[in-house]
Amino acid sequence: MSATAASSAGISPARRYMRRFATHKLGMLGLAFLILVLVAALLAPWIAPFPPQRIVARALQAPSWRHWFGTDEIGRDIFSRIVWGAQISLQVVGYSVAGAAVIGATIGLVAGYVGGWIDALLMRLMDAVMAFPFLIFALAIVAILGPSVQNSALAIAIAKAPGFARIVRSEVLSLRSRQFVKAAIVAGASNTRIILRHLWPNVTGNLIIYASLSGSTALITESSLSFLGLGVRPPAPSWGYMIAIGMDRWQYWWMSVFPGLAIFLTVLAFNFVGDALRDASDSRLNLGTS
Amino acid sequence: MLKFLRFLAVRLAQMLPVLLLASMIVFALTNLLPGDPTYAILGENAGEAERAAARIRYGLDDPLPIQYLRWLTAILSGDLGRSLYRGQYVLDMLVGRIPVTIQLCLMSIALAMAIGIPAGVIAAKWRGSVADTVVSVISMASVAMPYFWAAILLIITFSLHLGWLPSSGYVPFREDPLRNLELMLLPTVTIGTAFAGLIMRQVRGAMLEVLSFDYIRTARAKGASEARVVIRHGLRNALIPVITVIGLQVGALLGGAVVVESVFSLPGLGSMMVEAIFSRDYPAIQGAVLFSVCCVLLVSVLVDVLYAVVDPRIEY
Repeated sequence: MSATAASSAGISPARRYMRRFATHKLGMLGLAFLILVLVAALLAPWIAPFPPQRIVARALQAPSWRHWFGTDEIGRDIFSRIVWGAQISLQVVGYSVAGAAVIGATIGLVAGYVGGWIDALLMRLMDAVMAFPFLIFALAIVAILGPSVQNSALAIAIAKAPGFARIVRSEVLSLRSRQFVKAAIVAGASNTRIILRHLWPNVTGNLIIYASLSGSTALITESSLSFLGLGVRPPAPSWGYMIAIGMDRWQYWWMSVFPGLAIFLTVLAFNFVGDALRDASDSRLNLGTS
Repeated sequence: MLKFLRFLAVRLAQMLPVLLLASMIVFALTNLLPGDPTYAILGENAGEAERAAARIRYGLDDPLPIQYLRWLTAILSGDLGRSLYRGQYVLDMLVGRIPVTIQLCLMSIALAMAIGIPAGVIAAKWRGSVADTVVSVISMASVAMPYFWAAILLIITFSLHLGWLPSSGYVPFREDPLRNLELMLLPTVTIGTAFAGLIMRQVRGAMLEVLSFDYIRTARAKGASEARVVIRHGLRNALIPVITVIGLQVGALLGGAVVVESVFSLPGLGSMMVEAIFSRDYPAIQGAVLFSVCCVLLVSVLVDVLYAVVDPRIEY
């Protein structure tokens, strides 16, 4: 630690952060895997050997050279469907985490900066949302809005927002009493300027760590919703839904094992990256997740 | 004792506003959003007159605040309404379902502690050893596994290939204890191992910290056996984070139960909720969600009480 600090004197905190992250083996492994999934999602039409919806072979064939992960109950190529499924999973994860961060950070900033009864009310509301078991809350929302990609993302975003709100609020509370913020207030800076220039940049570090750890929760929740039949609608290839179909056909293990492996490895990658980001920063954030 | 009762009263009182807000959210979820419940009550083919009659009968045309107050007063007097789908009282449905879920949760926590605490202690005691690495890998992997996938892998291995255990079904404990445990074993392992991963991590971290304290060195210097040092002096102080983690994860546990009960066809709270969602059975959804919120809040109070039991230094 002291050696790193000595050798990194004179570089920007951001560079130092990146360097420390780069020495975290599991973090880099996770990042590499997430990039792989992202590439698969973006280049699905070129990477997947077969179209995801087309029947290309006999049904329920075991894995082979032609069909790496076998074929499903009507003869679609499972590997291709997993590659296309990455699109759906990453979309839901991306939208829901971004949505949760925006909703949560706004609430946290307002509550922490304005204080008073607004703070009390907002945070009690966040407590109330947090009292709901995560998956059950998401289930209830999706059940009512109807199953779809957007609604899954929205449900997860709402359920996840309080976590972001709490982190941002506690950060803002501690920042508000710091000299540079007081100085800005004395200098007559507007509220908008204080929030955007002084508070926001200091909050983003923990926000990013929490966001990447939330990626794993979001993915597990999305696939759980799809698994229960309340997420992405078939025939769209969603990892969770593919497992649900495989569930009725135990003998054909490849139908549920490979999509599950995709979820498992991606979740693991999100956790590795999140842990590495936290270790690389000086944050003492205790999230209790992952 | 008086102090304790006062603490308990204050803590329960603090819970009330959150519970009230949560009840509003539950009510809003099922009433503000689109979807005409009369379709669920009467089916697709009912005429408009029948629908209107049903709306009056269930008070669906009243202003929402009125509906909310009526709903809340009813709930406070123990009336959670009738299932729109089965006509059964929601309270009766819950009473029938809850024991299954509680048994599943308790068995899972017990298994998780039985695996997680020793594994965490071993990893901390021999830090950097092969055992430590193995524990770390297992804990990371078990946390990243979605419940439904773990359940399926267990079924494929232990039911399908080895034929040791049944893959689904339920028998009440009172009717046939052995059969009940047999059927509950795989669901318990599914949730319990995931939970064990979390506990291992917490115990390892807490033990590492505790074992570096001076009083541990003092205990060793006084000639206490290593087992006594680790268990009596170390573990006891490392248990607080374990309680915290179990308390914080009750929600995750109930969420896991939803999925696991569906996979193993256990007639618990979780599968009741999934069935209710598919049949748009609003009162049943509300009842199940509300019950799970109460569980989470009550456990958080229980955790505060447990702190004091484990650590006599903590006062109220």
